Amino acid sequence: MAIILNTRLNSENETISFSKRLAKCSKPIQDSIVIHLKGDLGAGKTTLARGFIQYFGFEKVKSPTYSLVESYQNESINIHHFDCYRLSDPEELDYIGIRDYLNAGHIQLIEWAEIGKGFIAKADLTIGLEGFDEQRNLSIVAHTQIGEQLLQCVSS
Amino acid sequence: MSTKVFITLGIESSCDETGIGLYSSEKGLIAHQLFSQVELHAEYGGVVPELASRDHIQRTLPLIKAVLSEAELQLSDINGIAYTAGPGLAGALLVGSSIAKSLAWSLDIPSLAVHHMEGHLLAPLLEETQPEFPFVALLVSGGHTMLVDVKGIGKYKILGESLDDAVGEAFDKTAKILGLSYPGGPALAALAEQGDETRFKFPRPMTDRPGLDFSFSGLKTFARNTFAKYPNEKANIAKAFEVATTQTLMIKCRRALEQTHYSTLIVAGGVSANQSLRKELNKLGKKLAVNVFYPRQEFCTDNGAMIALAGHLRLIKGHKFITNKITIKPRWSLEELEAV
Repeated sequence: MAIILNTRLNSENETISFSKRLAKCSKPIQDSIVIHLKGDLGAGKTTLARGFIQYFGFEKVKSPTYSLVESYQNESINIHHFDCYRLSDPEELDYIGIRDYLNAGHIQLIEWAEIGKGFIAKADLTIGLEGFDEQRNLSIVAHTQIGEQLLQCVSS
Repeated sequence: MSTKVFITLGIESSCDETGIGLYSSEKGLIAHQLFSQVELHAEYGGVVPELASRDHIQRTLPLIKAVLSEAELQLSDINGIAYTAGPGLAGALLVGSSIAKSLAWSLDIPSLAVHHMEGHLLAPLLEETQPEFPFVALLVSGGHTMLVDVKGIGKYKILGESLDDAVGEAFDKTAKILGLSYPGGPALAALAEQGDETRFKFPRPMTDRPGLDFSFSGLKTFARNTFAKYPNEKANIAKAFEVATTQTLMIKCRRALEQTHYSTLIVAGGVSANQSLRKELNKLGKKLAVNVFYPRQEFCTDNGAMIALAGHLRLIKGHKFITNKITIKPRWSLEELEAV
């Protein structure tokens, strides 16, 4: 059973602090974590991913749209930030070696996962972003036990 | 040293495009081809296959054959091989690296890893009228937005870069937000021509503080919010977006030129084709008495010619790999390069 949480963020700063809270909750989890980020262009998917990645001490977080994936590694963490927006066929993920990124303990943040369907890892958590101007409605869906754990942590 | 001709084969496979080039110490660039522009026939078995994007494995060897036959040369005429080792997608880079290393090993010739962005920076040297060092380079494409201080070959300092979206990406995505197809940068520019510049004023991101970094993600969101309120003013929004983008680039170029006191500016990358950007930068060039260079469009986007050239300039000076290990550097900074 999927568990759902809906919440409202009133500014970009609130989006960023939510993403850092989520990152903090991810830190103690030893297994791989897969988070899908959904929302229109300009909804704030990359902003959310950036806050999450910056929590782990990586300052520069570029948009992965052109490169398809940007990886962030240090002694304690491995994060892969994917963007499937430019794919014309999910099979292209095979050519970029998507299977090499599916390692235990790694975190994957995936934008436009629906375009990579069939090749992209299944989500523990799906985060949807909607809204205009400063305000965003956030919907979070947990699909797995890890997802539930994260959802509980971030909403407490 | 004898004056024997040295021919370098260049292989580019860092992202979407597969490109091959041949550079000769005697004649300069002698042949180059891009997979996306090649006529698909004999080499691919008579049928035009639907090769998936980024399927560099199936593209590279036939393209090398095509370039050699264009130059009327044999594999054995090649004296060195240069390939893009980074930055880029690991899987894509591995293809170029493996092919380059295996070919070099079997032909018993040197091979060398080339930095993709160095290829872009040196691309103006493929032209007959060449800029002189030092210069400021503005690289603007779908994947990069960067200002670089170029003192000479291998002497680079990144003055500023985009902290989020590349400028070409912001163009393409804003076009999509306005209902144009993706990638729609050129379509957006065409639409902007009918727009009223005074209708909306978009911010000039990061120009209100010192520094040469860029941020274009906010402009895209600004366009999205404006379009939600004024859905019938596409052209005016396109115009406001284009003006804000080109002025931001111009302001940062002016700062970079004033800071370095250089008198040459190179503008490369797909976005350098944008006419309003050219107008702004040419105006700036006149004002500051700076020469503005734009490499030929086909050498502005990813290609094998620039990799052949960048590798050639190093190979003829004796730079080469001493190992046969397949080497890639997906995250490689321009500032780590060795000077020539």
